[in-house]
Amino acid sequence: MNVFKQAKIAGLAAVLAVLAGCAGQVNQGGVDGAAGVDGSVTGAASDSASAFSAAEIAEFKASAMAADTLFFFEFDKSDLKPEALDDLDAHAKFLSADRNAKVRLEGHADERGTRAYNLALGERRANAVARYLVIQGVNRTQIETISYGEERPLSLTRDESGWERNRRVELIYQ
Amino acid sequence: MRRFIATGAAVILTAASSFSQAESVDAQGLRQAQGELLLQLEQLRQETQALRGLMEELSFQLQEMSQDQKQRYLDLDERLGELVRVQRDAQTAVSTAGGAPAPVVIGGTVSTASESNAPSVSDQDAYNQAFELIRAREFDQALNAMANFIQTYPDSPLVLDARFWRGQVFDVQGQDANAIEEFRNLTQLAPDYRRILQVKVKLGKLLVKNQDLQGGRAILQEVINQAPESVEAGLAQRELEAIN
Amino acid sequence: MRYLVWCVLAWILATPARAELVIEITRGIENPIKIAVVPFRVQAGGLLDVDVARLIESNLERSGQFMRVDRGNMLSLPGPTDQVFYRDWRAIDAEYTVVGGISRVGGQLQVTYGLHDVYGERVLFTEQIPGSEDTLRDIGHFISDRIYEALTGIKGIFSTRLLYVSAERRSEKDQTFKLILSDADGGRPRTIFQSSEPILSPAWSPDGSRVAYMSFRGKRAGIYVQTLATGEVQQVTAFPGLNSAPKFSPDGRKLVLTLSKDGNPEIYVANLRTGELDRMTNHFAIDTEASWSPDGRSILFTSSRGGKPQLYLMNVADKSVRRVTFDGDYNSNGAFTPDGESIVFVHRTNERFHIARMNINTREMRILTETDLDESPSVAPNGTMLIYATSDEERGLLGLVSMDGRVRVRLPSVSESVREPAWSPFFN
Repeated sequence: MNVFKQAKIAGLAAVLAVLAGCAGQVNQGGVDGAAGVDGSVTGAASDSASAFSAAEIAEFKASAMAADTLFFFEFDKSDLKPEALDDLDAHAKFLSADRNAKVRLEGHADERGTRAYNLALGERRANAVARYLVIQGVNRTQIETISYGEERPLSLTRDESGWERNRRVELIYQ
Repeated sequence: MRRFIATGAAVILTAASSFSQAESVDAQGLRQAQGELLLQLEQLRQETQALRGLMEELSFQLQEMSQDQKQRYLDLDERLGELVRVQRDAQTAVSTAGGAPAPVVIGGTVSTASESNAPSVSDQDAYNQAFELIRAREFDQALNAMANFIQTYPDSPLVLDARFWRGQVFDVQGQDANAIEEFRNLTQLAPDYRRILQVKVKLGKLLVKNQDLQGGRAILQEVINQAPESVEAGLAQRELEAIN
Repeated sequence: MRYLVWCVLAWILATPARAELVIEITRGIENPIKIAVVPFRVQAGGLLDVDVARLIESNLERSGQFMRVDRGNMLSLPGPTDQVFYRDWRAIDAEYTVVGGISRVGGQLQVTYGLHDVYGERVLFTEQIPGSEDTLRDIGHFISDRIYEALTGIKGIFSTRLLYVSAERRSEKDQTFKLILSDADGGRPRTIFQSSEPILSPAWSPDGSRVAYMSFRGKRAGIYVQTLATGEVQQVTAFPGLNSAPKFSPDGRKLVLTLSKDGNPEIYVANLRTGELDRMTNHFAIDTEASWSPDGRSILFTSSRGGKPQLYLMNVADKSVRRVTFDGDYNSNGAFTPDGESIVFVHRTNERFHIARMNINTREMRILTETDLDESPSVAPNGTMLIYATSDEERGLLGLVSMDGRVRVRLPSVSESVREPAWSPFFN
């Protein structure tokens, strides 16, 4: 996060400098200013060209591995809960930095309702996660989705405490 | 000159670098915006679906209601027609009551109008008087008057109505046992009585209320079987559902 | 007595030998036919491992329309050629008596039986059926069908088959799924397909020769059609995403199924000969669990287009759609009854899932089951009963319920968790 913040400030300063852009001194200052945070600027600037240093990728990877891989849903719903977004952002950052990384999203449902419907529901949940990752810069080809419907419950407890654990998408690195 | 070129290069370099930086900021912002759009889109979808569901349900209810309405109207129309007919009959009877009825020869036997089934002036009047008491909510007197009427004019077709109203009055007064007896008599005496469905629904309700679930259920079901399209069948259905 | 509703809560254990069957009739019909099936006299040199008389009385009783006379109460046990003294049977209130015997003729078995009308004091019919040890159960089911049809006027379903899925779970990711074919009473179960990945939605072809189901090959789901006689398997679809809920068209040439290859679960019709696909729905909500009306002109399916899963009916000719369920916020997995008059489906009421039946024209609805998490209703080909999946605390069970909800029977007590039953068509 820190890297991006710095880049933003530096970038913004540069833009302002160009816009103001008459006096050579100001320009010079701009360059000086940029030079002051040189390393991070180049790192961030090359983001769009998707070339991260190995150290950065490792850092993204570490935070992705630390992030949650289980995302839960309400009954008969497939919209992401707000609390899932930070963890998904961490996965997205790593996946978009390392195009060789691949994930499998397994959608699941609780046992209530009919099986074929739950299979469709599980898929919608997996797709909701996939769509969010793609928007965050992940290639669709890095993601594989599958639904198991209600066939693979995590919990066998037959009340809401069990069901809420079963209504999930599991993110699995391949 | 060299200095100028160097400055120019520096400017271009700076511009280029700041351009790519600006793009990265934009890309970041774009992603965030797209993320938000995605969530909003999902919300919109859900809302559209919910609205569609609601619309489907409302149009279904509307259709049901207009059908219901039509049926109610037809039923009301029928009842009103019947009321008018009864009144007209009564008036005709009153207007011809002046002269002595002329003997009519039917198949060689002599009979008079007073022996026919048409209500005579007096039985209609007596009935009307008794009925007025119900209207005036003089229930005890009404019960007696109706009972007298039944005794005095045992052959009058109005006897069924008198029994019906006695049942109704008993019901109003909370004399369930009497009401049940009266209604039950009616179902046995006059299965073709024009208010028989109403009677049966009443009887069913009273039986249920008085813990005879089996009897109540049976008679309510009878109403549904007998005239499934009737308003009474609807009432009976509701009653049955309330039991279950 | 006969005219009383017999509110029996009887746990009758049938033949301890092979058919491990628990019959639990929670509510009988008002007027069950009392039938005495006398133990068949076996003169076949040695014991047979099928008690044909027991099989017949269990079959008849499971229909809910019959009540057995206990063997212990029988005053005499006549063989197939003995005289039947009707007063013996009248004395114990039996209305009909079945007598029979099994003898060996050459290398073959010969089953002889007769159906007697106790009050009419006459033989209704007698029959001789040749067979072997291996076909004794088939013969028992056949005789059950004959008796059932003679006494009720309705074609019997005892010779039909069931298809269901069993699952054995060791952990979340270590499970064994089996597709099982059995007799209508749950007897003679045999595995016809097995996988460590889920098997779902088995469905019969209208002639009973093939079955369709969803399974995974590798990590990808597909729809497969398996020919029962040969075991040959045809892959119908294996697109990315969902490939689920197949149902044969009444002419057996097409499958209606769910695919999400274009991003959303949609209903398609697949031509089994040409492989051609016809997309039937186009909506961003879930559309799935389609099945045909008996005349093949309509398709009933589940859709969440109205926010909650409800049943919709599509006119196949113009793909126009109308909603058919309005009671409750969860109605799914619908199927037509064989007469096309009613539909059966899963209905949620008070947070519980039950099987319901609704007349498609009068909209009169009836909830048929009382357990929870009831699903996958599949109607018997004669339209008198349906089989469904339910569960107790630990595992999935199968249950039968008559179409008026009066007779409920629990089907076989096997050790695995079972689900997704599909009742076969008639084979004859």
